[in-house]
Amino acid sequence: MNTKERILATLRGERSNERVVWVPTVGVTVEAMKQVDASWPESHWDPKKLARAAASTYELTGVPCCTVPFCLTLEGEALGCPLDKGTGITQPQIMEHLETGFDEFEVPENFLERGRIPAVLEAISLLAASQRNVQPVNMKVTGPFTIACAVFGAERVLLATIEEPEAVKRVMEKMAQVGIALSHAALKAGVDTITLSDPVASGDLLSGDQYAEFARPYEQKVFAALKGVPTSLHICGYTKDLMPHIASTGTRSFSFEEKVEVRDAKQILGDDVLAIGNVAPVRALLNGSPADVLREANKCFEDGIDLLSSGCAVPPLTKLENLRAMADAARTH
Amino acid sequence: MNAPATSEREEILNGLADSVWKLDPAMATQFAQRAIDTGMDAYEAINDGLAKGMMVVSGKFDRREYFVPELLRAAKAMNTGIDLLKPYLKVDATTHKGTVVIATVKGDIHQIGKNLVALMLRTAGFTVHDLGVNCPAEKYLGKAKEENADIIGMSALMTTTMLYMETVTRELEQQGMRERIRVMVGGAPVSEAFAKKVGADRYASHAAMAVQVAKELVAQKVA
Repeated sequence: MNTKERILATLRGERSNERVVWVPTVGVTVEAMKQVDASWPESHWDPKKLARAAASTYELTGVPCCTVPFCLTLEGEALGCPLDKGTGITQPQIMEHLETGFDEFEVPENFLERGRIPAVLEAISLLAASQRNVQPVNMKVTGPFTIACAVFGAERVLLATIEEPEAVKRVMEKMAQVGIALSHAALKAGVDTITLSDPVASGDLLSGDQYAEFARPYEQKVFAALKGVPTSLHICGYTKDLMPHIASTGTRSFSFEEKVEVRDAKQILGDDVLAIGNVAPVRALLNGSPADVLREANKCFEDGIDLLSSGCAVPPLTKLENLRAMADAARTH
Repeated sequence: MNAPATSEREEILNGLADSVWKLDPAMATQFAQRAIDTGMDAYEAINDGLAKGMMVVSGKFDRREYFVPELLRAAKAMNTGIDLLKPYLKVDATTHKGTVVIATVKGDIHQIGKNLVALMLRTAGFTVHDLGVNCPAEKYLGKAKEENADIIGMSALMTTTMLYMETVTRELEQQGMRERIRVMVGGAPVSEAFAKKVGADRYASHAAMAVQVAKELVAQKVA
């Protein structure tokens, strides 16, 4: 089995004793992108550079993580928010939110032709060819709650969950349709897997009940439209209070941060959802040594992690030797 | 007009506090108006009424009974009351704990955590100048100079933008302002060790701790 087959088999639930590494969130680094001449900010826009950047981490470190795009602003930009392009080390960011009312807001009909979406879809076609026998090509689609917060501003949406909950739900419905349309376009372009990334629906901001009421139903809608596709859900921060609700989203796997212990996560998530994580992105990958990464990785495997990954996106300034240590944790066993 | 009788005074102060932790801006309006109508001291109404309610909210947030939506709604109730009471404040009546210039660093537009810290500092009696997000060093320094600030507070939510904190502390050194101004930092990827590395005085992991740290920094300065 090659790396791609091994990851996809693990996601299908065909368990083996092998240790498997796969980062379903963003895993590009400034150093690797520079080596393949595909640095930010150009590689957010240029399909060839986008594809080269996405493949660079596996090429140079052995950690599979061919995830596009590299930020959480793809949908917000296409829905009309002004964007800052970022720099060589920082991602693009939404600079202004829409002031439109939730009920007046409409998803533009040509949404898939706007902003960087065509470039990302073209990059996926290139990757589908170049990575065919190498690693899964993964599309990171932003979760409905997180898209709404990007478009309208997080504080406005969070406050509205108390003041106008029904209007919030109606707008989440529209954002779920955005996620479904984008996922289907990515599948058509050739992705193997889809990650729904909903970091603002975090337990650091919402209670378990608020997550279940305002974020989960719309994640469910996206996953329901992706039957048979190997999927992951990624949520940042402290997610223990959300975990009892994760299985009912319909995701195949859940990617979470080290604020929750792997053993606890496995127990709460249950048998139907694979646990992905949980090497600390800042403590180990960015600031630690290869030995620190190896120690955390081994601990994750011992605690029963199904797929080893960075707990959140790989910090862009991570040294390649630290990622190599993560790949080694699977190999040397 | 005379100050209200003790029992009514307590009823109004309790009503103001309750309006905040019960997340009810209409109730805050009602009791703020009663405070004004009965001639209650506006500073007392804010400090012993609304701000007390916000302390209850802060405790509930720490115990994970309240989350960010409740915090935002509580702040709205409190601000509704403050806006009504403000014209009746005697300017010299405020006890001033210190002046803080706060912002999210250049390149970073995350604001929820920074806003919570600003809110808690204001509730605790600090004068807070919030410069928003994406704030360059010269803006921090300019405002700190203009307001004779005691503390600069910096927030960053990304591993790449948090590096900018060092640019600000270095600029403070170069301008000869570092002795006069204390620096505190926070944000998800920031840690105690990182704070030291970038030349900040202190790190705070959450909003309630930020208030404690700010008080300690001002006390140090006086001592």
